[in-house]
Amino acid sequence: MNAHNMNACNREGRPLRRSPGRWLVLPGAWLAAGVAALSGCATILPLLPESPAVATDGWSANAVRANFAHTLAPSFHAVNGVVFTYRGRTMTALGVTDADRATNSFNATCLTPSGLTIFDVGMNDGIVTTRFVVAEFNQFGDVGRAVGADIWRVHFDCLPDTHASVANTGRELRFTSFRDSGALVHVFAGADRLLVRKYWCDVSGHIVWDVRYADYRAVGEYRFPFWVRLTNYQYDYTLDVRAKQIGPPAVRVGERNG
Amino acid sequence: MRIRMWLLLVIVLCGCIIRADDAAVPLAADTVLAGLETQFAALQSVSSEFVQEKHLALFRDPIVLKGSMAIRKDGAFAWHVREPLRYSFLMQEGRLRQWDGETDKIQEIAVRSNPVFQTIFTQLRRWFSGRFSELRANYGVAIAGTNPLALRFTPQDATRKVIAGIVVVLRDDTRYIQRVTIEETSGDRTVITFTNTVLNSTIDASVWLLPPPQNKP
Repeated sequence: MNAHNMNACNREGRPLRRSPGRWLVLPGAWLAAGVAALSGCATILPLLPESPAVATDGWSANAVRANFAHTLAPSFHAVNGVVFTYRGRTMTALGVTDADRATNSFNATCLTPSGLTIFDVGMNDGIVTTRFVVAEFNQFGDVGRAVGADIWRVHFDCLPDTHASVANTGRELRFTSFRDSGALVHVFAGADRLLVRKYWCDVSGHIVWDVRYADYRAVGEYRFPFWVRLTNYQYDYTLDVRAKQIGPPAVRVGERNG
Repeated sequence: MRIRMWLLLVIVLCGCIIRADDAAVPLAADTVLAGLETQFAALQSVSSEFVQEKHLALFRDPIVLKGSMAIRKDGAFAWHVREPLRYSFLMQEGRLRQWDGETDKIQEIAVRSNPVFQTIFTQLRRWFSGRFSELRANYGVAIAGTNPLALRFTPQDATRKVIAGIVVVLRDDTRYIQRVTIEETSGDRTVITFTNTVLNSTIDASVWLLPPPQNKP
């Protein structure tokens, strides 16, 4: 954990302090507990690659938002290496996701590296459907809902609201979009003015989860972060997602959700 | 529960499935199994490339994993996945070790002191060494095809809640496995096809190393 992760945010999206962990109490703990149950491999998280900092003086919020919107693929098929980390223990998996940002839909499956299905989930217009969860994970609660939420956090809601408040720190542009139960903060930085961080603060100012985006690469006319790290402070786990293959989805995503 | 998961892992590693429309033919499965076991018993080693296709209802196209495997008569077993992520699984001299390229970490488990992994070790040897008759305790066996020879294994234990059947297709010369298909009760299926299979040749020592040298970036 770095210094940023120890913080939360105020009404301007500035860090204050982190959320207390409540792992093993609520459904989202499936991931952390699953990792502990399935792996004996202690590890230290590798550092995410960082783009050189550039001055953001004079950046136009509207231009940054519009520029990033053009780099976002409306739909995609991703094959990822996924590493869950909980209390220094890890579980590696192969994740496959078809996502359609326009319809708020995705299909996702997670396999062991040898090809065993761990879970299949889908979301159609915001409604998560769990098709399969390996029995060993059922004890951790509503796995489909937890997984669906994490996929949403990583791949969706990547643009700030048009009415978001904007703070320019000189090294990054921070958009804070206020919602009913908290605030979603988007941080843009680097020479290409891309989304480098997105995090959620609850109403008391705690960061509940935090996503870092790195290693952006061009795929066709779009840009994809090939390394994404989600940290969930509420349940005290980390999810590293490294893209192996990115392309267009084979068919319209929502059509196959039940 | 965890035992069942590991058994499933073993099956995934080993499996091959044939479609249900391959009508069973009236051959004595036990006679065929006995003949195959005699033939497989002569194998000193096997090394092969594999393509593992996971057909999921969620996706139109299969998820494809590619890699290589090796097995020696003494039971040493190696499974290396090269694509889309790097992963290796070695069983040798009573130890199970696995490594993946995402974490670049090696996990090691003493198989002899762990009944779960002893089961894995035994199952792997049964499937890949052609000791099919030893599977009869947990599987019903039927001849699913003759050209090429295909055997359908139907789970008789708790595994049948997840696995509908496993079909092993032999090479034309019946000296080794050509394809394994695992049919899940969910309708998903996994097909593992072995190519460039080499029998009774010295296996390169690097196959038994972790991290696998050929997989280093």
